[in-house]
Amino acid sequence: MRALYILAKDSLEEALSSRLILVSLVAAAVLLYLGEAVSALAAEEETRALLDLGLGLIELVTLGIAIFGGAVFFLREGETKRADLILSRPIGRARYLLGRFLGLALTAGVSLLLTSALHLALLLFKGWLFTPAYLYALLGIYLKVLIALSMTLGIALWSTSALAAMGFSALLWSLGHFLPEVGELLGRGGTSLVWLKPVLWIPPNLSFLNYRDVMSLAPGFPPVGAWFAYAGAYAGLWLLIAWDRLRLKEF
Amino acid sequence: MPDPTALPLVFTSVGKVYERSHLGRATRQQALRLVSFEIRAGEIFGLLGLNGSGKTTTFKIALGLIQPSQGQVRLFGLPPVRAQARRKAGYLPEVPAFSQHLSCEQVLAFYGGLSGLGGRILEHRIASVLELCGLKLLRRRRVRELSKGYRQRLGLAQAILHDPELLILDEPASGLDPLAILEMRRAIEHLNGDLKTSILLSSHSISEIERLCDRVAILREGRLVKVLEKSAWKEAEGGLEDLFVDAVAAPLGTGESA
Repeated sequence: MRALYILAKDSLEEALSSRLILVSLVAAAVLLYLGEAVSALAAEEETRALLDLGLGLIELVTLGIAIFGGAVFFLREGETKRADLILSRPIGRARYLLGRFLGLALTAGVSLLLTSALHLALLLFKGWLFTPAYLYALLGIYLKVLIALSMTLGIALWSTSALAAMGFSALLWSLGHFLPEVGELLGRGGTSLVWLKPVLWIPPNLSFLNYRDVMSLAPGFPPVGAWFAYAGAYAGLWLLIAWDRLRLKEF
Repeated sequence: MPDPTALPLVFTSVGKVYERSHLGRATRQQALRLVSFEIRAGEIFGLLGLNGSGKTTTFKIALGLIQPSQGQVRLFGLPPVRAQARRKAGYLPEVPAFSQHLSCEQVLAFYGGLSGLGGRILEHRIASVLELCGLKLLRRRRVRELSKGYRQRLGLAQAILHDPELLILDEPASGLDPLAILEMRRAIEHLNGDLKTSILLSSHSISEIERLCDRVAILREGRLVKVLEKSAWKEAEGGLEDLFVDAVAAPLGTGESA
């Protein structure tokens, strides 16, 4: 457990020292400011527009940090040979992977907290009445980001290009938001497209966690337990894929 | 559990082939061929060889960082891929890379923690290795502010932090000025002489190897062509240098392993 904590803390500190979070925070602040200006055009629905736009921006910024971090982290540790020094210690590769994953997840979490604090302050300033649904929306965003992070780590370790890993993850991420719709379209296509259906098992079903899209409709208490179970299982699967590559990887 | 009576390191007929593919083109590079040797407890064992002869590959296999394609490696009686086998080994790579934003103390706390050290023991060990490696006054200085020589000292400090029984040093004097080389040599002599640490080291400096080592293996194009006892180069007219040049210049197949 201690090794996990040390590795996770190191990853977070490295992200903080590289100013990744600071840059993302500044970007989020600028985008939120622009969002505020755009939402003013929505007349009576101004706070709702600001709420939706803001949550969307928070998700994009946090996702960017997770995907970028996941794609470059092990490549950079390999290039600098830092991985050799760490793995020459009595640390198993599974713990190494998990420690780094937790560190990157913490980094994304810190970014999410900071950007959402900015957003919340802006909303409250505009007279929005706080509701717990906001926190569920953030939780859904965070779980989606963790899934994206695990996917990116898995793809990055199997490919040799950070760009390819980011591209594939972004593609799966996008597809993951439209799985029910794509499934329905395939169903309409008749038997000729049936063979494509198993492909839909690959991307994560992110629409399941997309509470921010429906929170304005007051859908009630979300299935948080099922969220955790789904996100844990899916992220765990990708971490297993990442570990399968990492256990024999020669940096 | 590591066998306490086991030799620190044993290579038996170890071969390594690097297989890489780029844009569908696969390449194979034979880095080691049937290499066998062992490190005895308490000795300094040198690896000599030209660039690309397989020295770093040997070190990485010894630490489980890469897998041999054939043969067997035992680190304190265990396969080096087992985390427990590496508990008693310390490693200084040729160019040690650390997080730039950390101070010397923080770097050591990080690696000490990964080696299972903590609390007072870790604090004591950090103070001790900072002193030994001449970094005491720079303990709060960040890595990005250190010269290459001081980074190398920090590399040695992290390698000996957990008091290993086997120290693997890949070109420890690389890029150091003459005074720093002297200090590095004294540190190695202290670790081996006073603390009885077994040491496996490589260097391009034959005179350093000659002074420090009890035995030397000469690698050539991945083959171990000679293993020499100290008496061999002490008695040879041209010393280790001539023996080395003979070994790497002779047609392959005429050298012998002893």
